[in-house]
Amino acid sequence: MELATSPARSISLTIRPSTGSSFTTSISSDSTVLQLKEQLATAQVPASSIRLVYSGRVLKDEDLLSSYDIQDGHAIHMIKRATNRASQQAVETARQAAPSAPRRIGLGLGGLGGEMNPDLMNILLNNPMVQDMMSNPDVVRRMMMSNPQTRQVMENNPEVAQMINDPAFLRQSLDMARNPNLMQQAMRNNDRAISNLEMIPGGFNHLKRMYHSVQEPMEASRNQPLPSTDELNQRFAAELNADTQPITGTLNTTPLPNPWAPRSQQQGAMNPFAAMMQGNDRFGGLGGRHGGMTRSPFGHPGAGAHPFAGLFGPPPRNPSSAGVTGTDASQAATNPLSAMFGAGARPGATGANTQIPQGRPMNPFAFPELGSPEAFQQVMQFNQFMRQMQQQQQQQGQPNFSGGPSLSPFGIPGFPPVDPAAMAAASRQPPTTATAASASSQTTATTSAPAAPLPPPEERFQTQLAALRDMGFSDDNRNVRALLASGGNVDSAVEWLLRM
Amino acid sequence: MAKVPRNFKLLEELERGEKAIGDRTVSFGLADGGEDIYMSNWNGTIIGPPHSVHENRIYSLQIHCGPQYPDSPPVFKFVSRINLPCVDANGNVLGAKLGCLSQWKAQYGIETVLQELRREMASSSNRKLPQPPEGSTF
Repeated sequence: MELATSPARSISLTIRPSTGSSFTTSISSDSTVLQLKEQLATAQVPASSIRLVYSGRVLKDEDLLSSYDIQDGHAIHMIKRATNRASQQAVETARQAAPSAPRRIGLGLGGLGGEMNPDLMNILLNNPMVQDMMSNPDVVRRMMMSNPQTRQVMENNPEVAQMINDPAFLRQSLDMARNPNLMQQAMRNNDRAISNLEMIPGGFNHLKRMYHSVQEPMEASRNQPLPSTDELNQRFAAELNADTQPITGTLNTTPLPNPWAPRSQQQGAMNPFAAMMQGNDRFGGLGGRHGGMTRSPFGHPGAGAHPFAGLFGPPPRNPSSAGVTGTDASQAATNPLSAMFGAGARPGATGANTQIPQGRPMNPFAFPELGSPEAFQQVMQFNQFMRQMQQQQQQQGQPNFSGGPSLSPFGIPGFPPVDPAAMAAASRQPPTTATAASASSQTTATTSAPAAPLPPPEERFQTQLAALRDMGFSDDNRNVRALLASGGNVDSAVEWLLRM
Repeated sequence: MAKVPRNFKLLEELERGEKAIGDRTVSFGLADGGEDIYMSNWNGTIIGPPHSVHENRIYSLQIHCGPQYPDSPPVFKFVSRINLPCVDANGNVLGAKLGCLSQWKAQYGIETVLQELRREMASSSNRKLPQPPEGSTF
């Protein structure tokens, strides 16, 4: 062949390893394959374990490169040879276990079981060696401390450090990681705690702060190579209209952000339910009123202070009726958040932590969902649910939850029922100052006495009755019955009247 | 679409093979150097897919592109011993059992078939099949 006899010259070859990116190397065209391999060999990969493939042929060590007609610019595949069967198997197993195990442990078992393959996790955790290691809290602690991000989180949050130093908690976490049922239960408790927390004035901001100071660094340390955490956070915050950062160490007097308000609507951000209310004309006064009244200090149980007070009854009832144990009602009233922290995923947590008032997040592991896509989805589902409810109202012209006295719009156990009187009073009236005031007083009344008697239907359905009379339904008694049956909806009442 | 003449297509494939454009898990090139002006006989290799019994193995194949190529598919034969449902006892790849060969299209190439063979190796039903020792040939 002509090429074989041509004088030696340097050719540049592209080497394409089976993993990693390709690179170029230069070699004389009269060198042997072995010489090329030696050139490619590294400390980890000796020449003997390199195999080269060119144009569908495995290159033999003793052959000259020219004998394969390899030319300048051509590419050679490089494959590493497995040393032997057993070690290959070992490598395989190690590769499967490696990416998950250290990262998990280093994280502090934050979101255990969330994204992991549970089977693999089980196998890993039931491995006697791992179990042995895990039963020694010192080892686990050291592993956690070896992650600089975790250490930083711990330095910034003494409570976290305390937790990690608590062998009981570590053991608990590991138990939880092993037992999917326990895990699920803890997660459920978490969900509930979070949703309760969100109902409290300032609660959402607190959650957010907690998220920023603990969960985010944790997540960041876990997903280090992925830059998407920040992006996700931003999207999450934007989705919930949360754009203010609470100042640590001061009372949080900022109202809850309004996840349902249009992005630009600052007024709506005063009250999380404002958008919903404004969507329905009748609610205009209500939304505005609460917007102006959410300024009292965080945690104060005054009626007007609670953005949801008019809707859902007295705030101190929230934590205590949510089944939170170990915190008495007055404690809950002065600091509802502290009660929440005790309800997290930390059944074995030291009780002292729950007493620390509102300053620092107590248990970062209680809220792993915040950063997870599932949580985001749940929030979105909730959001959607609220939107659906709003649409339904618009269709019916009346709030559908003014009918049943014990309907809990969130399905959260222990959540105080919607007070029908307040809702009806607020909803049926056009937004005049007079009715807003009456609704306000009504709300205050129901806050102190949730079981306030309803005004007579004639009074409650005054406007509807007038409307019906205008339509030509002259029998007031029948009209009242129709309105009662339809829950105050004129259209339905007319239908009822025509049918009967 | 205009029909690409056989030699044009094969020349293009040759360049892809030599420069390893595209997939890095399969490799192919002319078997007889520049002497085969009809470019009929080719060599191919498949790097065993990871997480399978084929991991870290290199399988060699002989490929023959007939005069009707690319209207009719090339013929593949394994040189390295392999245990696959679509390969018979002599190493011949059974066209009827490999999707891209039984439903051959002129746009397909040697690379298409090699990649499909590699997918076969990695498929859940085949990746645990017991294999003859590495290096043995048909």
